[in-house]
Amino acid sequence: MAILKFDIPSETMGRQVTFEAIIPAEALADGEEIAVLYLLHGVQGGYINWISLTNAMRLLGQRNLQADVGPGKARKRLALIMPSGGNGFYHPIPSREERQENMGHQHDYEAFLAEELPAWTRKMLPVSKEREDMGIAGLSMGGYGALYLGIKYGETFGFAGGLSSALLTQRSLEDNFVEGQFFRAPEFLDLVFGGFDDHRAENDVFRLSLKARAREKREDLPDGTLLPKLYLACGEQDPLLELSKELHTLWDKAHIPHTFETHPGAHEWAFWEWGLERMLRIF
Amino acid sequence: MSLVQMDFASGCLNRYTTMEVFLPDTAVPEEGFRSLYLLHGYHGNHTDMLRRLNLLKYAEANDIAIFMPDGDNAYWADFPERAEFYQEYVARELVPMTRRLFPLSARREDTYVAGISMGGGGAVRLGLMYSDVFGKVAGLSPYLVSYEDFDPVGHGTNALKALDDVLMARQASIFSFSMGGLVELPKMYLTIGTDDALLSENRQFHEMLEMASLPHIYKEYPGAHDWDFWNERLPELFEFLNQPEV
Repeated sequence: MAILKFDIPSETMGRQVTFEAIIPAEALADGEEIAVLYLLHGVQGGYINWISLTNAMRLLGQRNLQADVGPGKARKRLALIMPSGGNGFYHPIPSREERQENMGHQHDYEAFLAEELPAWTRKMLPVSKEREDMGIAGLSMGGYGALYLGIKYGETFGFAGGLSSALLTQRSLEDNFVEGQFFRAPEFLDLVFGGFDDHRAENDVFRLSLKARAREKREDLPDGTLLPKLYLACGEQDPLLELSKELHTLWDKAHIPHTFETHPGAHEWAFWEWGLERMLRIF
Repeated sequence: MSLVQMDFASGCLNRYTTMEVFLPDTAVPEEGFRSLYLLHGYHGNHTDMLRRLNLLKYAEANDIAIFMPDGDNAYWADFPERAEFYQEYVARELVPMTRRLFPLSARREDTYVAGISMGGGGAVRLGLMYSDVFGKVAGLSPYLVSYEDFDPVGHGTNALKALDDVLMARQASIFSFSMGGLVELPKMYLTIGTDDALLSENRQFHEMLEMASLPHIYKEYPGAHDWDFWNERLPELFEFLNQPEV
């Protein structure tokens, strides 16, 4: 299993960006294609988090050694790709509307993660073109990011997983405030959501999933045509547990297929490592 | 520019090893990118070419993927007694692995090996011994000399002596195969500074190739065995790599 650190030019980010990957490079057969799971970090994190704070490499190795995985088998071998997302909840920052006035400092994480990075990885690595072979998952802010991007770009991602997801748009700006946490301050959230209340009204995970489900029903599409396979989990001692339960309830009511799990643990890496192992089984 | 630092398990070296990679940002050609395996010198490592050469200027202007492996101080040779097979690693492990991982051309004429000093000698030897893999070979101030004649830092060992004997014997047989039309040798570019202690051995090698009527480019320039000299050779190196196959 190989660890690769990439440093590539990004048009949507307007700069060179770095990310890490774990790829079963040594074991590839001629012409073999691999599946990819993008892993997003949380606030104050970076691309190095998943690889250094979990047993990601060993868990991936176990997953790729399963009997039904490999060339000619039911499931393709998997690679993990871990980008850096700043603290902006994986939104375009500043918002695309404000960009004209704010040239020179633009970070379109949404376009980077949903369009540019999948295209780049398919161009440069032997990554399958199938939607079912591309997944996105994350923890906390990254759990929110993975769910909103996975659902909004359901034609790209066949799997979306959120661990301890910071589903902040389920609460008002005021209710999100936590003393001493810069990323829960109203001004900060208003900035990185490109207008928090506007985003809440139109574009949050709850509404995006209901919209996609409604379209599946309206157009009589089979389950999962627009929505990726969904995974949701949270630690039983995590203050964010309530938010995941609310999303689970909503998905149940709307008959949106998904897996919801809780497990002993707080907002911490021991739980996210457990969640990664679960997602590697399900994806 | 796209750069990759890669750590991976090598079967030929029996260890985890590391490599720097340059990938072009242009569209992938139909056959895949051409590839250059670029070998560092003694005392160096896989980061030398990016840190000490103005390599990226030329890399960006030429759509060639460049792979810079770590070769220790091992002369890019095989050491069975240590279970470390550096030339097998480059030619039979690295080339196929990089082709499976990145969008590279699988054609011999699109696959190059080059190096500096110890890496130049390694590149020439790899080109001769794995002429099925490499279409072009470049040696910048290559260390081609025999153990008997040259041992500049006193690191000679019996293993190195044995290695040298093997190499000379294999090179001789490659030349005779080539002269018999049995092996198609890669195109070869050799350059050396006139103040380089390796000059006379490079001249001998050049004369040997001439006597054997093996086509190659051989250029002497003023200069020594240093990074200034190798930087100045980069335009000519890429010109050589870009020459169309005739």
